[in-house]
Amino acid sequence: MLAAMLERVCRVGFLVVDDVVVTFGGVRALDGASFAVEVSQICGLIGPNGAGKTSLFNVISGLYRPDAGRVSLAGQDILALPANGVARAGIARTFQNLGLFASQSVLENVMLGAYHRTRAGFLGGMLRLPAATREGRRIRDEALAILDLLGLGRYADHPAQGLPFGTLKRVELGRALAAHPRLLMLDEPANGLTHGEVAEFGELILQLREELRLTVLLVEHHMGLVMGVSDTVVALNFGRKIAEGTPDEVRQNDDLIAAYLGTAA
Amino acid sequence: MTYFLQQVVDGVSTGVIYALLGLAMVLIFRATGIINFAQGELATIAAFFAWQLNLWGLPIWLAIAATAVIGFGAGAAIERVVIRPVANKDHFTLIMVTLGLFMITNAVTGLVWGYTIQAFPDPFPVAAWTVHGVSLSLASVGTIVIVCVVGFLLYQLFHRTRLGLGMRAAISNPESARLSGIDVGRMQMIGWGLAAMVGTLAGALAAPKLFLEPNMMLGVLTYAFAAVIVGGLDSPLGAVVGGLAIGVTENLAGAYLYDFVGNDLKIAVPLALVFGILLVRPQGLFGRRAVARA
Amino acid sequence: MRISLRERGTSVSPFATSPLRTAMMGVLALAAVVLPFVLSSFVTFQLSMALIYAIAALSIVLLTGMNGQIALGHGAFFGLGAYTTAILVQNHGWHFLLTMPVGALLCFVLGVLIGIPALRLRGAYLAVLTLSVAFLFPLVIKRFNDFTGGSSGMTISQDLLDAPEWSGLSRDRFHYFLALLVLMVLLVLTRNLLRGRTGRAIVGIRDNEIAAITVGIHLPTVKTITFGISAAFAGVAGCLYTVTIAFVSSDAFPVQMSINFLIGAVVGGLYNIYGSIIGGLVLEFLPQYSQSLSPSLTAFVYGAALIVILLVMPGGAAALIGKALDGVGRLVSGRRPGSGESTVAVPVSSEPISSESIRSGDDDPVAPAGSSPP
Ligand SMILES: Nc1ncnc2c1ncn2[C@@H]1O[C@H](COP(=O)(O)OP(=O)(O)OP(=O)(O)O)[C@@H](O)[C@H]1O
Ligand SMILES: [Mg+2]
Repeated sequence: MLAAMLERVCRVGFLVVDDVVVTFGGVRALDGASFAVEVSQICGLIGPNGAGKTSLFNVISGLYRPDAGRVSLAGQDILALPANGVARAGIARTFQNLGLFASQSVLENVMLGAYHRTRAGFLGGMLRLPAATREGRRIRDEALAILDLLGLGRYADHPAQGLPFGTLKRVELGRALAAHPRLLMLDEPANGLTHGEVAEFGELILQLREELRLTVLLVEHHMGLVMGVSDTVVALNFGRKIAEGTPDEVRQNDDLIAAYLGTAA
Repeated sequence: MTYFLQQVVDGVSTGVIYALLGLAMVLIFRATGIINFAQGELATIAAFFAWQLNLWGLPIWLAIAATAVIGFGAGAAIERVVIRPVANKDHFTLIMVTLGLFMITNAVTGLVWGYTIQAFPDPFPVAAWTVHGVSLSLASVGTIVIVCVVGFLLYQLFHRTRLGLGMRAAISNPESARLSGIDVGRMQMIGWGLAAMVGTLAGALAAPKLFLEPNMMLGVLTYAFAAVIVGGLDSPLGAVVGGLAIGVTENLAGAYLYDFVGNDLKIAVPLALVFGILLVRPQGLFGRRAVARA
Repeated sequence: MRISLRERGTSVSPFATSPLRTAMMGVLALAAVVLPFVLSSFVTFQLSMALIYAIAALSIVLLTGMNGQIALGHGAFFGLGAYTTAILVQNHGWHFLLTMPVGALLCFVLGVLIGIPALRLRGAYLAVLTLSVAFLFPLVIKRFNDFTGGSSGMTISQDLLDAPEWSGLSRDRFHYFLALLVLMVLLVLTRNLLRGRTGRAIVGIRDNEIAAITVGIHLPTVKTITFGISAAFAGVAGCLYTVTIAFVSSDAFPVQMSINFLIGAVVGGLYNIYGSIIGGLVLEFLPQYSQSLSPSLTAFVYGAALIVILLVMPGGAAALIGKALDGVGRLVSGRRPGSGESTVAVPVSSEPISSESIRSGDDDPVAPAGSSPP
């Protein structure tokens, strides 16, 4: 059973996106996109504005129901899950334009990332049952450690609003890490970072992949970053895959160049 | 059968009042994207105003017309002074502000005219026809005609005029509407002004049936809400159909479910129905489905 | 994770204390205990009512302030609690203390039942749904007047509401301390709840539903149970109302009562559980003074206060007091600003800012896709 599953995962990939179609009225945001990502690989997802990258994230995280297609993670059908069950399946994400809990502190935001792997309920919270209190302390310590790792320690008590955009994107990354994901999806994480910070961020992603054996799906317009850290790159245009391969292969791809120059149909 | 028809007809003639107030709400919703909790109270104060003018010697129709004109100004002023400053706040603030307006209007009405019930002169002469045993009063027919005319005019306004199309643009995207040269502020003021006019009619036509007192429109408000929810907040046709449906349901419930619901609870039947519908078709029966947007 | 776990000393609790706050709480607590022994029994009665309204305002703070579900119908839960006590004590001979858990439970169940359709509604639609509940409650009471006394009401024999022998207190004082105790207990329970995992979820849903879903929060569960708890709080307040006033009638629970609860919560401070105490005091005492001037003045002041507070100080009186205390604290100790922040941050805007999140259009009452499992 386990062996069979492992084999299946190795053969077809850890994350499998298969022929996904998403339409909004007349717009085909995704039009049969397919690709796979192996365990502990970093996959760069690129494409011009409106190519469907964010829509794909929304499909994988259960926020959009696709018109057709399949998505699986380690053989598990992701589309069969309710949107709030995706986190438990091991998927965490950040949002292109931030999806933080603005009134809560940076620390609380990161602690909320661990929501799906904690238990304390209404009664436990109200009555401060020992199990709930213990769990809360443990998660808090973990969250603080994550904040330190991301260099956010001194913002722990700061509300998650009124900080620079780049800092908030890191807070979101912290929240995603607190979920202990297997698949980490980052939507334009380098947006709002300075040149030096981008390089640092690239290092961080590689380090996280190394230490936590994360599989990463990375949407980014910053080509230097994508090409620098990705093992494979998938390029979308008009919801369709137009190129796939190693960064070097993709860089040479004529369709992609045309798409970015705006000459492709 | 005659009894049934009579109940339906009576239901329609109460329903048109809900429809009329509902139309005022649709106007405000189309103009500013707000559900106005104060709509009923604004109608009440207008009715009092018309009643006062009539008392001072103005013929009732003239009093209503004058109130409608003044109401237009008052509505526009409210938009400018109270609503504009909160226009880009969240839903909660907007709802609470109109609730505040509700309380203030109600209080002012009570302050000026007191809480004794007043008789409002019927704008229609007393007359009735009997068709196949079903009696139909001139007041009912007149009110129905007025509602249909107002509904039709609003429909034309929304779909045929620059103003109405501008409203639509301003609601769905105020920024780009502003950029494309639409004077959003002026449009919203006009929207509130027109709504106050329609509300004046609603108040004046409801008052003879309900007796004039500061809380007279509370029930009507709840029903008008229900009407626009069934009909779709942005649809004048929906408000009319919704209002009529609610009036008829209420009346039929009172007639046929009396043993079970009694006189007090017949009101609950249409409300229950409305929320049933809302659960199945949240955008209402005639409303456009808003496209979810990421 | 290989990431080291390091202990840290900072507290991020929105309820962080400062010496000044502790001192203020101490003075208030002392006053709360001493006052009924120095004031007349009528004023003690009024204070009991203020505490009861504070509990009602607390129920709104939890549901509307923290969870973002607008509540315009809590007068109905209040009334249900009130009738539960009235009927059980007067007709069935129960001790009034025992009726409170029953009232709470009934309201919890009704709250969950109303919370379920409320899941699919947002903003103004939810307001209308809850308003309809408030509107219907007195009518239901009238409909079943054999049972409830309808609009002529139902008087509870005073001797059934006497203070128990062991307390050694007069009736008014006992009722006062009962209300005080219940308010304190509910405040502590709410504070505990909000500090923990579920509290973060409750506020998280208000802040950003999409993000809440993605971290794994099951919105329907959290929202309906929060609705139920809030309703139970209002119900307990209603039980205490009957105990204190010894009379219920359908006219005692008009639509305005529900609106007033919300206003009390807003004036006291929608985003601070202790604001509900101020809300309760306002709801009890403001009408006493304004009513004597003119019967409509209360509504006018409420309406005006509502608009002004929302525009000028969305955090209500609690935020104002918090700011003042911080100011004084800074003057006294010269500490850095903000170190004693006690209010839960006011939401920036109830809509999530991100264009990323799936936002429903203004005229769309439906919760966003995925908020309920398919
Ligand atoms: N909820 C929605 N409703 C309507 N159209 C949508 C929705 N979400 C996405 N779209 C459309 O789908 C297409 C793909 O959008 P998407 O956000 O996925 O692109 P993207 O690749 O992330 O672009 P960018 O680089 O600008 O972030 C666009 O045309 C967009 O307008
Ligand atoms: Mg995108």
